Amino acid sequence: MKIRVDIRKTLRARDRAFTLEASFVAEDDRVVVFGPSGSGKSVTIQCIAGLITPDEGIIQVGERVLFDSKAGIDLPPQLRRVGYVFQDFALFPHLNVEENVGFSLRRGARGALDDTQKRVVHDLLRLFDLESLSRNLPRQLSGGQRQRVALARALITQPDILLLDEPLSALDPLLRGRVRAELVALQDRFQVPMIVITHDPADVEALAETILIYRHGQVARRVRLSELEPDGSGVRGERVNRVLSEAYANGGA
Amino acid sequence: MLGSALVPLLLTLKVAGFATLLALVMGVAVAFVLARYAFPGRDLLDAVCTLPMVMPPTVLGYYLIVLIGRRGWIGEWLWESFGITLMFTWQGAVLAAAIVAFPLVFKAARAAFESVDRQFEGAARTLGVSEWGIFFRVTFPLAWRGVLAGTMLAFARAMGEFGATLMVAGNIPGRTQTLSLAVYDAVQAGQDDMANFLVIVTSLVCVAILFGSGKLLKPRY
Repeated sequence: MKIRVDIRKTLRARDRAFTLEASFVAEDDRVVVFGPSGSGKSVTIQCIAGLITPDEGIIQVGERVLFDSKAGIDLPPQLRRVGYVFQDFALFPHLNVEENVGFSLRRGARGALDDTQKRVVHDLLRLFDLESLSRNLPRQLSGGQRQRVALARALITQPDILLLDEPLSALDPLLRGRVRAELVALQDRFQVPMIVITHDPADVEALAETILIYRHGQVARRVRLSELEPDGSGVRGERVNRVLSEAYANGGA
Repeated sequence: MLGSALVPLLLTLKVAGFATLLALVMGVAVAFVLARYAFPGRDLLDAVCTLPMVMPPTVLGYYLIVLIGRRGWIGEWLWESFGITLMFTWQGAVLAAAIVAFPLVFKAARAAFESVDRQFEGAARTLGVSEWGIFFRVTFPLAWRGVLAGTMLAFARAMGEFGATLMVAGNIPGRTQTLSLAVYDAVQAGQDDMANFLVIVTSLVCVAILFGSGKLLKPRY
């Protein structure tokens, strides 16, 4: 699916101002946004989700225009069909696993699920190996379990695109390798395009088809790995590392 | 003695109960708006809403008379359109107690709403849930303990209301004479036993409320 982002946003906090000028087009299903913290990665995906409103520009996912300042389009986050997994997962602390995952199945003031909806939730819980934990509260779960709940909660809405804000940073380093493989498998299974934020080169190597390298609030470079390895030869890790170090050498981080 | 204490006690519970309900609805609504939306005059509105906490109750009572007295801005309209007045009625006492108790709900609710991580509301938005749904299923459930603690303090404050109530509702035994007014009357009339009894009842209720609200304010998640 084609994702088109061309936005400007100035954020002010007391005496400091930060301007994001992000512009990119991505056609691959696994886009990794790489860059140092404070370079605007998170603001970009929050703009895509509708949690932050850009000052101007356009955001398009597939055929759907989510935001277009010239045309006066600004869909509320509720209508964007965007799944969002927060860095610390933002699971509702007062709801158990089943209620968290099924949260979006009811959209009004009452949250209680009926039997059909519970079945939908439990089918997904089984897939994520969470069924035995359905009555647990988030604080009773490990980091890896919380992340699976957050992914299931986002995917149950069948979003057009899944945004992940540093999905691995809250996890035990020993767990990260396995979770990277799981994310790739998940993307295959649900066929949902993902944008993943990270500042860990290992994530880029494992996940990326397209790399967007951020610096100072701008997309400094866009690299499609398929164009980098036209004959499929060479060691992927080495090529990714070269791209990343080149990007940092040109002007520094 | 128990019988003659029962009348002001029941009246006090009725007045404080309705006043707390009124303060709760208003306080939660205003607190939510102030905690979540930025608009010009926000700090001024916060100050006005906190004012009843620091102003002498007699001054509040005077303002209320200006508003709801028979010649007051609202009172005159009420009297001419419907033939009713709040002056010297238990409903008037409810209004006085509600205004005095309002800042306690408002302050606690605002702090409670502000302590709810905005990220939860953002997550609920991306999950397609309406703003009403977010309030009732996310924000309020995460804030209710703080709101309830403030509400209990407001109830205790409404129970003890004296000055504004006296100005607006008077001190009519059986109709507007609440516990604190009855204590004053008993002391003035030299009925020490009665005064002691009323004071002990009031103290016990207030201690129970403070103990309960203290427990609720401890964080849970």
